[in-house]
Amino acid sequence: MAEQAVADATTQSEEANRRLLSNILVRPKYTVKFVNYFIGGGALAIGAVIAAIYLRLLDIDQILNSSQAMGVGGHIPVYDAFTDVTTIAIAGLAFFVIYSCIIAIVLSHRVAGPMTALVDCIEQLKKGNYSYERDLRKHDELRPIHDAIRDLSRSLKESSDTPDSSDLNAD
Amino acid sequence: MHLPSHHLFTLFGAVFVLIATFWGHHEIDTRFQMALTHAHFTEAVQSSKKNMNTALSSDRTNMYTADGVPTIGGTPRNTGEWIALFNESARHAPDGGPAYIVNSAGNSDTGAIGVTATDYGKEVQIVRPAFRSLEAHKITVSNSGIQNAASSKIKS
Repeated sequence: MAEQAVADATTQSEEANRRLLSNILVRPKYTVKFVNYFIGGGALAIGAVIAAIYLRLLDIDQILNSSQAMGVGGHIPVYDAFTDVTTIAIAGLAFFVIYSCIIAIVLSHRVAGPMTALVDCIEQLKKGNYSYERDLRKHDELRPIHDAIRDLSRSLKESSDTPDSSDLNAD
Repeated sequence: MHLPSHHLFTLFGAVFVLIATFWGHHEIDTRFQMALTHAHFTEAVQSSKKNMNTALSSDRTNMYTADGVPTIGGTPRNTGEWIALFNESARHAPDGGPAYIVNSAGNSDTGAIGVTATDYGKEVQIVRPAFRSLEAHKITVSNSGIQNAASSKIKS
C-alpha cells in the first residue's frame, strides 16, 4: 500500500511538472518581452530586406525588357542585379545575427542581475534577516518574482514583530 | 482553441517569416528563369550574327574568319542546323524541354526560344517568348543586318 502511494505521488508529481503544449510559445508575464524583441526586430529586418530585394527584382524585369539587354554585354546589369539581391539577403541575415547577439547579451544581463539579487534576498531570509531589501534596476526582468519575495520578507517581518499569542496567554 | 494575443503575435511572426521566405524564393527563382531564357536568346543572336559575318557576308563555302579562325560546325542551312549550332551543349529551357525549338513564337510556358530559318539558312528568326514577365521579342539575323521586332508584331 505504501509503495503504491509513493508511486501514485511520483506519477502525480511528474504530471504536475509536465510542460503543456499550450504553454510552448510564451508565458506573458515573464517571457513576452523576449519574444517581442526577437519578433519585432526580425519582422523589421525581414521587411527591410524584402523591400530592398523587391526593388532590385523590379530592376531586373526592367533591364530584361529593355533594349539595353539586347546588345553585347547586356547580361552584365542583370548579373549585377542578382549579385545585389544576394548581397542584400546576406546583409539582412548578418544584421539579424548581430541583432540577436546584442539582444541576447542585453536580456541575459537583465536576467542575471536580478537572479543574483533574488538569491541574495533568499539567503538573507534564511539567516532571519527579514528587513533586508534590494531594489532591481529600472529595466530588469523577473520583477514579479522579486516583488513576491519582498512581500514574503515583509510579511515574515510583521509576523516576527508581532508578539506570539502563546506568549500572551503565558503572561 | 482560444489563443491569447501574445500567442497570436508569436504565430504572426512565424507565419510572416514563412511567407516572406517562400515569396522571396519564388520571386528570385522567377527572375533567374527569365534571365536564363534571355541568356539563351542573346547567345543565339550573337552566335548567328558571328556566323553570318564570318561565312555569309562573303562566301557561303568559306569556313574561316578573316583571321583564319575556323567557324564551328560550318554554316547552318536550315532551322535544325541553326538549333544544333545554338545548342551544342544540349541546354534545357527553364521549365523543361530543349532550350531552342523549331517555332516562330517560342514557348511561353517553358521559356524555349523559337528559331526559324528561311532562304536556305541565310536568314534566321530568333524569338524570345513572353515567358513570366518577359516581353516577347523577335530578332531576324541575315547577312544584310539585324531586324528587331516589337512584341506586338509577334504572333503565336
